Amino acid sequence: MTIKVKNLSLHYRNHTALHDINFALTEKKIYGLLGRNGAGKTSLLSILASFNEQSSGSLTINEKAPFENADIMQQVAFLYDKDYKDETDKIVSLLQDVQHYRPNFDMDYAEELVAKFKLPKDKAVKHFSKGMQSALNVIIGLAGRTPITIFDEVYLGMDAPSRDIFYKELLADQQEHPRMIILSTHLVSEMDYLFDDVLLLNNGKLLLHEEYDTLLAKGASITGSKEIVEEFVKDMEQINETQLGGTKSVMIYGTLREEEKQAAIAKGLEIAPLSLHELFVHLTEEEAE
Amino acid sequence: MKKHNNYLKVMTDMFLIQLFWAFGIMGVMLIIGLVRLIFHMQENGQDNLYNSFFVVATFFVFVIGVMATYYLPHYVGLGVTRKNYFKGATLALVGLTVILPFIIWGTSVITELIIENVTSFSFREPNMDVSTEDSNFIGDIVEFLIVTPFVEPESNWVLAIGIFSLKILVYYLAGWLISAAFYKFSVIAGLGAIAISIVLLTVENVLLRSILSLPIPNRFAFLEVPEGIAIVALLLIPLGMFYLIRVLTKRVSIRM
Repeated sequence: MTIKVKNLSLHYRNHTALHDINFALTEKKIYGLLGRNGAGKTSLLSILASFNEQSSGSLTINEKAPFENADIMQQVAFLYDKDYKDETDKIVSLLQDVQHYRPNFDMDYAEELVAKFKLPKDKAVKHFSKGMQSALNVIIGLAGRTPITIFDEVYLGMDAPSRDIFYKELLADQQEHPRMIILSTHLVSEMDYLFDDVLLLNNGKLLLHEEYDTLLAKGASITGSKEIVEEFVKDMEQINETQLGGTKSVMIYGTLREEEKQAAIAKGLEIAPLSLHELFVHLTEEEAE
Repeated sequence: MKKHNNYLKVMTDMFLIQLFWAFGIMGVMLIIGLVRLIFHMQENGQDNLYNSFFVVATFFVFVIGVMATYYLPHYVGLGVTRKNYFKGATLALVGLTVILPFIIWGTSVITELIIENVTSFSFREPNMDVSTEDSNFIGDIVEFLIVTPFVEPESNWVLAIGIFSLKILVYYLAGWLISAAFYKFSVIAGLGAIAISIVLLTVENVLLRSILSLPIPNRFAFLEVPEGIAIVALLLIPLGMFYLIRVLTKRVSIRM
């Protein structure tokens, strides 16, 4: 499957949810779609899942527009923070309903996950707690095995052990049944190890799309004497700085060349990598300013 | 991988669930009928299930029609296109309009036979003629919309079933149309759809009365047309409603 997004924009009456987005996803990987609240993550994913149409630009899956395309829509699953307050069915019946429409759905695996998440089979889904309903969404997404599976902040309400089961199952199932998985989240520090690629959205714009390792290699904190640090980073993209007495630490975004690293060490500066969480916080902070 | 028969799955699912609800309503009405029988709450004979359900069907199919829009997000979430949902829901509705009157008639005849054999009750002829009017304009319209033309299945079963089917069809469509307008647009558009539906249902009822040679209230007499035109218009109204629903839901955004 190939997803191509070109100059995609989405406008509501007085609000631009997405502005001129461009990217392409071509491999069966786990993609982390990061962004602060209101960044446009759900808007983008809802277009991908044919819940909505863009205002301008194009989004194609295998060179075809997904909206109202029966072949494509069947291959995209969009799991989000759905409210099951009116769902009178019990979980097995609901999963059978999903199985009816999802050709790759693995009922045995779904039942295994029901047991792992300890979801009650004798209760109507509307009586499930928030965390249980989220686990149900996870089960539908994992056992559905659709070629494009989107989890939009699907962990909401799940406790830490349940989220841990989700992450482990996600990695294990992706290894056995590789597909394109898009994880939208702002729980970056907890989920970063899951991502192969990262897309960062802010204020409706795509800030970056990088491989996880490449992205991490682009961030560094330079710490040392204030004057030396300032001199060293003056031509670099600075995303954050902190100072304590005469010691200053500056976070930069951009790949350091080998000679720059050597020069920094020679000047007594300390170079440390940045976490995805730090990059996320400071890149979106800078953009907001 | 089967990809193109989703509308048949939607049809089957929608048909079965709505039929299940209809059985639920019939069960409730049977119980009410029995309670009235046991406690002698009706002096001049007992309404049979067919007559009772004919009236209740107005509300029942309207409500399930309203719900038809709210099934759309569920199916789009399962990868079904809006078009396939529309096709599936339409076929389910057609199935319901064909099957439901027969089931109700059959159940009614069986319960009548049982009750008449074990009690001294007889079933009365319904009086569902609404040709009189008073000064209450709104009340007249509401009454006119609820008590639609009725034919006893014993007198002409083909006509009776046909009228019942048509009633199920147009009242369901009215509910579906109104909820689709509320879903796609706003309250104002929804209210507009209610107004359109009231007009269409009123015209449908007048045309049907005209074809059946039943009295038509004076205030609607201007809607009378020759029988040939009335029959065509009678069929065009539901088709028009289908068209409007499709237009409203064709590219509708799914609310999350």
